[in-house]
Amino acid sequence: MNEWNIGLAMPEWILAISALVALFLDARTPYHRKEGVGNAVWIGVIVATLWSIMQGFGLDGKEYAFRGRYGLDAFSVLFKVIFGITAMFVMAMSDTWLKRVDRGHGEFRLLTIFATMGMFFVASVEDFATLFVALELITVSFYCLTAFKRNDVRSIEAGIKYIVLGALASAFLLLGIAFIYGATGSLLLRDLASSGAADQIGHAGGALLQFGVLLTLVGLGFKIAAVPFQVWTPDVYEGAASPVTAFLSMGSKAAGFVLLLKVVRACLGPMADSGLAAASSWGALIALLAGLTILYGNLGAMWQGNLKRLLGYSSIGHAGYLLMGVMAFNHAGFTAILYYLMAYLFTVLGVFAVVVLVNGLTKSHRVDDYAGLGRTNPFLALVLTCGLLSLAGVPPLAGFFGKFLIFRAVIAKGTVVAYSLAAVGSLGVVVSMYYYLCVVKRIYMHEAPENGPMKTISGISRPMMAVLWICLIGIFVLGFFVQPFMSLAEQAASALLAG
Amino acid sequence: MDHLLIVAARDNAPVDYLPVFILLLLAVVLSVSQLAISWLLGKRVETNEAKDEPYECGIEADGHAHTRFSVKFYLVAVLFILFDIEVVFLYPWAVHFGGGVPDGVVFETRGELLGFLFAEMAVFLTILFLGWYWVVKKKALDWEEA
Repeated sequence: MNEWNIGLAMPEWILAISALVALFLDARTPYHRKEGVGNAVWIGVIVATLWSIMQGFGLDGKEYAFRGRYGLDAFSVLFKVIFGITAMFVMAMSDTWLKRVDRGHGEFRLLTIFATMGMFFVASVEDFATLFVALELITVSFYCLTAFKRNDVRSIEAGIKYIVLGALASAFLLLGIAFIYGATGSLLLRDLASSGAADQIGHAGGALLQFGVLLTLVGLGFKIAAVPFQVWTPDVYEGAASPVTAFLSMGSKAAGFVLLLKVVRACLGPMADSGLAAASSWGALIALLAGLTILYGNLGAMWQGNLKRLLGYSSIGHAGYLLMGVMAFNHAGFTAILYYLMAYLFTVLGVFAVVVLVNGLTKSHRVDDYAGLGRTNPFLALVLTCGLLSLAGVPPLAGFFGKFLIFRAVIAKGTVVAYSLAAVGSLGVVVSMYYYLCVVKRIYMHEAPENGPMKTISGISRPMMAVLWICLIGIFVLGFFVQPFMSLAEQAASALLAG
Repeated sequence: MDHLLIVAARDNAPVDYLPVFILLLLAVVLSVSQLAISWLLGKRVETNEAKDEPYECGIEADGHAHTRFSVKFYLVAVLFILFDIEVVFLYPWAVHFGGGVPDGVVFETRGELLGFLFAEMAVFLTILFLGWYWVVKKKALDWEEA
């Protein structure tokens, strides 16, 4: 545990080196020739992801690097692969999207790989200092990416809103970390998990620790867009470029959940283990947040005429379902969260891939402009429909099993709080059916408007076609062949609980 | 290094946070008392046009504060902060290079410790200078062209 063992962090090294090479190439090449930068970034992400997969096969329990500041277990590997795939899909979308932009190609790719590097580090975080730096690397990259369309008022507005609220959330997070350190005297997560928290609860330090955890949850709640820290989501989702929105809705949210799971496991785990009364009140708090998040997201989405805003509200709703898994706080709950995120990866990125392509033609994100898509672009319509139905949780698609596992884990708790949360959650599912199906109805039942913008979209690039196919297949595979993915999620959840 | 800190902070009691609360109390007392004193002792005058003017060294204000500045100023300010932080980081590192950490606490030998400190800073500076190279090549420091 006290070894440096820096070879363990090879995926991060690969990403860092390729990011620096890309930075160098970007400085050297003129505006219109950024293929070199793109290639460096692509190679970096692909090799880092493959290396993580390889590490996953040879992994024995949990290994540490950097004197115990960096850990690698099944949980980290699973998330690194998820982040790697997300980054690749987003890069394929950005290549398509960047063709419509005349400058800043190099910077866009650089920011993408910086954010990806932050996500890889997040998956291996073992102490609060690394946690904060890794999270800021992601968030600061996203501030710039959000405001990337610098001639677009909406994009600038989104960037300003994101940076102001994001900086506030970071301040809360940092203050929370300071309190946790003050209460326990250690920044290492496993110190909290092993002894710190349980020892301290009985003493006066317990109040400080709980206050610190509360502030930390505020900071992380912002990243995952949970009520009451969700106000930025629809505006930022609408204003940012579609590939960035896709990256935010999958990468940033998953990174927030990795940290939430690690912190909750380390700080609240010992309380739950020793059966303290505090544990049940934390459970009730998380249940309350989850319930409100589900209601806010799903009710807000009902009135949206803009597909990206709708997806923004729906992403708040999904954060609520994932929080239900956190509330369950056991192996079943964590497994459900991991399965849900795997399903969400293919689902939400497939939807955004279609959004990027359609936006290239219509220059709008209005739901009305998707009318007649089923006739003009049957394949895109199929991917979008399957994605939306999977988000809604229609069996037998991927999203259904995610929701099923989450509800099963919560109901198995058998408490009044758990039952009421499950009731609120199912209400949310019913409401979400309505607005997802409204979009599907537009796609298939409505005629494309006369002289409307919708034509057949041609010239879809090969990587983009691959993204669409993989997402479509992924949505079905995670719905029909649950077992292999389920066992991956179970292994990762066990690794998380083992600490 | 952090081993020492852990020992220091492990046995804490609420009384250890007394200075924090005194500071908090002082901050509240100071800000409230200043407002209260000026409210109690100050003469209450109706506002008028001269009173509402922003005060700028006794000179009459010229123009509006909400004008647009060229983005170049912000660019230089951001780059300044970046390299300023670098110096803030570099200076204490140079002053305390290798000092203050007893042998055998984190590293076995003194050579290992110094090697580690040097390597850490070398990595940091390499990244920073690559960024600086990028900034120069992007002509961000070129006042005329930027």
